[in-house]
Amino acid sequence: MSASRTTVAAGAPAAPRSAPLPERAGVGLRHRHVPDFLTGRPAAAWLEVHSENYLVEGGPRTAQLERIRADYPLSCHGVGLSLGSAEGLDAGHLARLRALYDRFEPGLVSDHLSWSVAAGTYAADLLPLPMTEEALAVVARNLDHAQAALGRRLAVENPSCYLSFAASTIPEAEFLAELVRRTGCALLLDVNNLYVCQRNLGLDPAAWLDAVPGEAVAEIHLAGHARIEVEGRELLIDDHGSRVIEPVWQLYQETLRRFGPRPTLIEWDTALPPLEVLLGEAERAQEFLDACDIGLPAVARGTAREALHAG
Amino acid sequence: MPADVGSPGGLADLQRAMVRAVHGDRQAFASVTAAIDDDGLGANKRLFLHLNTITHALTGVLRQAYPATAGLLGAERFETLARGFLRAAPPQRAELSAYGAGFDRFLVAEGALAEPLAAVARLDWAVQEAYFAADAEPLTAAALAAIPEERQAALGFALVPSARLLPLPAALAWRRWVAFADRGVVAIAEAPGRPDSGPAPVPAAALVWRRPDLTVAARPLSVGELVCLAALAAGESLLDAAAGAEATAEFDLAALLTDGLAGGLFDAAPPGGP
Repeated sequence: MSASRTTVAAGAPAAPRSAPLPERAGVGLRHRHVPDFLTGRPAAAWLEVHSENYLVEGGPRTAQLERIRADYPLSCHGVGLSLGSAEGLDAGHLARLRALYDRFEPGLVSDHLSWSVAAGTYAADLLPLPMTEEALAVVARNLDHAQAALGRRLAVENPSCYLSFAASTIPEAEFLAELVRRTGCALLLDVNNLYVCQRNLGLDPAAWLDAVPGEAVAEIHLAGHARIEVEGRELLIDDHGSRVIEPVWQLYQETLRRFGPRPTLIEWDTALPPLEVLLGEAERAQEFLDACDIGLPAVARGTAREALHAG
Repeated sequence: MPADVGSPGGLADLQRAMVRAVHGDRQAFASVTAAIDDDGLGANKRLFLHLNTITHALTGVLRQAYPATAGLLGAERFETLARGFLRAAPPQRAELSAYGAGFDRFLVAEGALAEPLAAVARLDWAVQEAYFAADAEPLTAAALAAIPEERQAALGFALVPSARLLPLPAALAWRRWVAFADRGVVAIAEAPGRPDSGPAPVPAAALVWRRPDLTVAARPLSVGELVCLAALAAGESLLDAAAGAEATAEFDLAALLTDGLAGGLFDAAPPGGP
């Protein structure tokens, strides 16, 4: 595919500022790459930022994002809403997010099926929830609160998991599907997270994809992960620090085959390479989106199905 | 006792225990592992992954916010102290740009820095605060010149929201901070004042602020400059602030105003200002 396919078309009529994200491939905007976007117009179809990085009073970050936002559709991805907190949501945090979203008018806002806040302390991680009826009620209540306070539909991302709770009774995909039914939220399908959970905890991606409502999937994430060995056992860590691996690409193709094209993000947060590497990954995602768009059979579909059931 | 996550109130109990566990509370850690599937690896090792992620993230946040302090203490010592701080004072908000306030006091309490050198940590934090402070329209020389001269002395010159005045209990603190500061983040004027004013005086304080081009700058202040700027920041008129400062040696009001106007130090629209 030529690079021009992912270039923002010069002279094309501008979409409304808060229009939904295009069903194309975007990249995460990280501080080190900001100069690339201030001095040129790199070929990303859209950009995503971490909301909490922009919850500041003023200064260069928000000023730079204002300039970049004029040229690119934007998605705001939260990491601190703590949708799974039994104590409820922080009204101050919601108000700051609302002000940010009203200012930058992102085409999509999202956060995670996880929690980070308890007893007034913020844990700088996306902590897992027990998949119970109680947790489902908590997250649904918090989602209702968040969507009302933000004045927007939220997309909820499936987490990377390293542990499960003995008390869990609801499969993750059913938990997410029920959240969609109860709250009208959207889903952010992180394909790498799905793969990480498959390898770490034995989650079945095919059954997972069967169980989630595809029409609710508003965005897809792709990323690399790290492998560590703990007492002879391999664990995958969702560190967003490398290229997307082949089995994840295959799972992505299978996802597109089932649900059709969706805005797809290349996430890269650690060991950040030059922007060109992210754009190259986005270009590959765009190839699969294009194949999906014109009804071609997904490349290596058989291989993708095999990957779904690989251990 | 393991957290009972299946009963009413169980999730809240689990989360309160787990947030303590991932910040290093051993009793809470043991309590939470009892609720986690062993799954062939061990619940404690699985939970430790989260503790490790948080420790790595927060020590990284502190290292970035306190570059000169890290240089002064050395990487290994800084890492140990940062771990101690995040266990004693974990973040309360998800906005990690605000995390790290009070690290200077922690370092003094731990005996890692003598009080005079704690100014190194305070300077680091002032840069962090200045970088993210609220935006403001700076007062320009042209705007000031448009104000009739007879009114200028009665004007207030509030400082922009990013401005921080930090007393320096020892000249050594400034020199150490200058030696280790991240010049990619802050521009430092090492010898303030005019070229004809002779050797730079021993700094009494430091000024950190964000300039109109959105870069953060720092410069040492003489006693007179500190007195004048502190009075202006407190809302005194230029006349009163200058009168207090002129009682001290080595004070040059014109030079201070010229530098301040050129660097965007004064707020164009303070309450009751120009």
